[in-house]
Amino acid sequence: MNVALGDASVVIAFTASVIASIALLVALRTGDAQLRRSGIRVAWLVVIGSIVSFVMLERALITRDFTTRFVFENGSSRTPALYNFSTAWAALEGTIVLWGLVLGGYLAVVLTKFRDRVADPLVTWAIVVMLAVCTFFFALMLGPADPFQRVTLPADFIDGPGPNPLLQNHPLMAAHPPLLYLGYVGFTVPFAFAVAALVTGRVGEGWLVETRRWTLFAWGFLTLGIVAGAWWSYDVLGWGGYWGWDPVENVSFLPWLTGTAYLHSVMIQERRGMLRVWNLSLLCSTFALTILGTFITRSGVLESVHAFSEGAVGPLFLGFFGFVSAVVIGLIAWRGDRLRAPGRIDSPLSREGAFLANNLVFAMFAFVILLGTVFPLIVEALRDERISVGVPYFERMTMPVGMVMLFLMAVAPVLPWRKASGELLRKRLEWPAWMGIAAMVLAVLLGGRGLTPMIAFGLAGFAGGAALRQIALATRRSGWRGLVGRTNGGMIVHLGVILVAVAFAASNSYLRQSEFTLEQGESVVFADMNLRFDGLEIDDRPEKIVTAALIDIDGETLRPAINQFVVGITIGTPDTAGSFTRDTQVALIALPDSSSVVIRVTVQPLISWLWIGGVLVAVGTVFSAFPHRLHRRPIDPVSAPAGAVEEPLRS
Amino acid sequence: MRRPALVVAGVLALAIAGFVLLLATSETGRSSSVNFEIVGKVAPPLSGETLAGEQFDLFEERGNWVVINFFASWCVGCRVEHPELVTFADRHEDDNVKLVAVMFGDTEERAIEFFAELGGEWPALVEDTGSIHIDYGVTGVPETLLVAPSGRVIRKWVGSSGVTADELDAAIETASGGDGD
Amino acid sequence: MTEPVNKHDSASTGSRSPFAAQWRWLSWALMAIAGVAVLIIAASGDTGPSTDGERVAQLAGTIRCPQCRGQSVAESDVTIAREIRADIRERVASGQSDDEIRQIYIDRFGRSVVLTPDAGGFTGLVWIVPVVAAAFGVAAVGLALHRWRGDGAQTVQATEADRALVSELRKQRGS
Repeated sequence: MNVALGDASVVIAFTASVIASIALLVALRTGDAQLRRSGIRVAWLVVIGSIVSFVMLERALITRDFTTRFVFENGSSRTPALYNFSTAWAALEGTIVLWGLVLGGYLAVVLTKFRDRVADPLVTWAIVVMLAVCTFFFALMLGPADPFQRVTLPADFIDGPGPNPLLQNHPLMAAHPPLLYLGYVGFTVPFAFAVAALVTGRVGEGWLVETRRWTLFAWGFLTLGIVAGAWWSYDVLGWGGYWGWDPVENVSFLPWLTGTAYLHSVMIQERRGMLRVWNLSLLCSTFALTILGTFITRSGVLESVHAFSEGAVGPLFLGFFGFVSAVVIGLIAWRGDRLRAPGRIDSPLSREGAFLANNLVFAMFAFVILLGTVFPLIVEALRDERISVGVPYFERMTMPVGMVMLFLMAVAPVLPWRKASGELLRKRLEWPAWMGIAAMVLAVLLGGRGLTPMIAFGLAGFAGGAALRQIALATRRSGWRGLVGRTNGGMIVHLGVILVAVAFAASNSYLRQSEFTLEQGESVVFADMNLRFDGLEIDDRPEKIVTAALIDIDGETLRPAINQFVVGITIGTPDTAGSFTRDTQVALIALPDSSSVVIRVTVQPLISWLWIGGVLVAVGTVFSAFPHRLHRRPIDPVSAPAGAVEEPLRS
Repeated sequence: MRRPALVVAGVLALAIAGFVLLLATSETGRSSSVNFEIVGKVAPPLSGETLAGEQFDLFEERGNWVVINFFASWCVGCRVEHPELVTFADRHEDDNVKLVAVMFGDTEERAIEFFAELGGEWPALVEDTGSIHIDYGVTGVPETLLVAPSGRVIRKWVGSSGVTADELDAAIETASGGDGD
Repeated sequence: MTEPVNKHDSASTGSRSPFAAQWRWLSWALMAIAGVAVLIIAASGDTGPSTDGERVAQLAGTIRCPQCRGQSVAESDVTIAREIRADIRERVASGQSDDEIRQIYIDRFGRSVVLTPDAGGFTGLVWIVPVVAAAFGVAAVGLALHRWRGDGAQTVQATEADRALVSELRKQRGS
């Protein structure tokens, strides 16, 4: 039943998206309102199909229906309930179903929110674009990524293999893909409106500005997804790492970068109607990069601990990426003449100038990461040599970019529009600069050394001061309302990012790691701590045998363990002692074969602030979505329409 | 302003097309860990106590052909190739072609069981083999090397199903210029 | 020419008294001195590895685990990774330098075993291209700004008539 209904729902969703797109396209051409309404109704079938397919997949998993291929290959009666639910996205086919569900959800919200404006060709085109994306994903579900094939169970079948044990040992791993997908898929909506605006030629009406809240929503979830992934990595991997500049991590980061640049740059378009080409390019790049990211994760072209290569799907994603890129470049080139801004940037020392610099910095950041990630492929193709581009490259290259970003974060919020003077800047930046100095002095007093992290702390203090200054001014003027609204929420997001930056700099620069072999009862001193091996603890569970070493660190006992799963895989689980100032993580390197254990100890300062900063970013995003004022003031500026002439002042 | 926009668009389109082409033509799922650096170089030192309790030293085998086989008991390919190695060892029991095995990532007990189960009496080094793995650039099992009488490594086989006795013999034939032996 | 009044500032352009201006310059000067002092202290300190074990871990972080998919020898615990770490420990204890140790692994496992790409040759492009691209980007933006300025972005200067109008209105409002 699961297979039948699941297959049926996918077929319905696919056919509905094709029919609806065609109907809407014809309605656009002929202006037939009746046909358009029918098309919208059929589009709702896509939504229903996406929901039913996901429900059927989960139902098959929960009832352990092993006659369904996906459950046969990934499910197990031994898997605990939560992880069984998340098994839906533990393998390729299920993740495509999840993508379809989220896409259906966003489509439903678009159809609802814009139902009164469907007569507008721009909205119709946007829906057509969304349906086109749906068509691609449901076609994948019909063909190479079909979870619903029927399987005849072999006579000696006892139980399925269950998901990869690495995906079962932490609740964040269950949450990570849905959060990421809410982000990635969410960018489809503003992308659809961007393409619609280009196709209809109505690029000056603020359509991109209207969809800004959608972009913010998607961006917030993408940030949460990335932070969740980092947190999970840190908790389970065993070497204190949370970001490894791994190819899959890098390509998941690229849409975040272009999305962040877009969120900033669109403010310039809103205020002065400028940087339209930048905004359209950034937005469309964000969507294209999510497709590229999926390709790299699924194709196995780049070696990665995350990459689970599945033959046929990879090339299809690459093809889709190429198609999207071609369409976008073509559209922007075609409409180029309509995208010229009516205004100019008067001075580089202005908010417009800072945001333009911001765009450039983010673009460079994304370019460097992309280059480093694919460079081994380039070298292999052109020189037939094998090289590696790893952590040392990315750290050295992204560090200056990060510094420049912190500097811009400090200066941009205090820059006025159009033109600033040196005196104004000196006045406004005074106490943020003092905060930067204070941060550095504090770091030095706490024992921190090293030129690079010190500069990072100084710039972080500087940027933090600018953000706090903005919030202080706003709350002084409007009370608690000074915390919400785009600018103020944005400052809270900046504070979160600054915390993450400081934690990143500190934990990387002051990391201490070493390996020790200890006999029972033996102790060793490392990083001002006393570590003692107190013995082993063995726990025999139905799905795994857990061998834990009891390590006493200054009174606190940690239990790093090695898990031997019944299915034959062995995975280590580290244990961490964390505080606000520093984290100590201990991992058991191998199964102890005599009376001694080999452990790896990693000590890093300020790790907790990575997660606190991440949560603060999420909070700031929510605050940012609330309106600062309920009604627009009459003197608020609005987007200059294309071609407007500025009247000179008359008395 | 039309011309520069078209030029930029054209350049971008070409760059992305090139990028897509690069990704489309790159091999997927290949393991970049396998290397053939050792081929052509003089075989690094290889010595130690064998399972049988004797001493083995590669340097003393100069003048003989030596086949070095890296194995582990958990490795499926090693199990598949082991009978072939038994055949090969039998063929060359009394001539100047020698076979030696080096364990990789396993325990002595399991190695003893492995040989007891599948046969074979050639020297097998099981202790302190870490530096041998590094010197020989071994990254997985099974890996098999052919060392010429001169002491130079002339051939390396990697592959999930290991080597066959015929492959080894053919390689020795070719390398000795078809003179046999 | 008066500066633009930004509505986020409750005080406008700041008081004109010479004392405030002097204090501001003094403040920035003090800041500069403190900043330089702190940076000098920071630069003089050592953040490198303080024990042999840490040096091993740091070096291991730059060598790729040959049996894994993209992890470094410090991160992975597979056979060859642990053997390489043990090997590094021996070599560090025997006094070999970081570069010597890296070269040993390059000789045995190939160039791809080191995670830092070469600075020379074709591979060196991965270091150079971003810098060139950044310079190009800055130049392009700078050129665009310059062209906009030169294109006659007219800043309207306040004329005497305008000033008179403004003071007239202010008098009327009684401010």
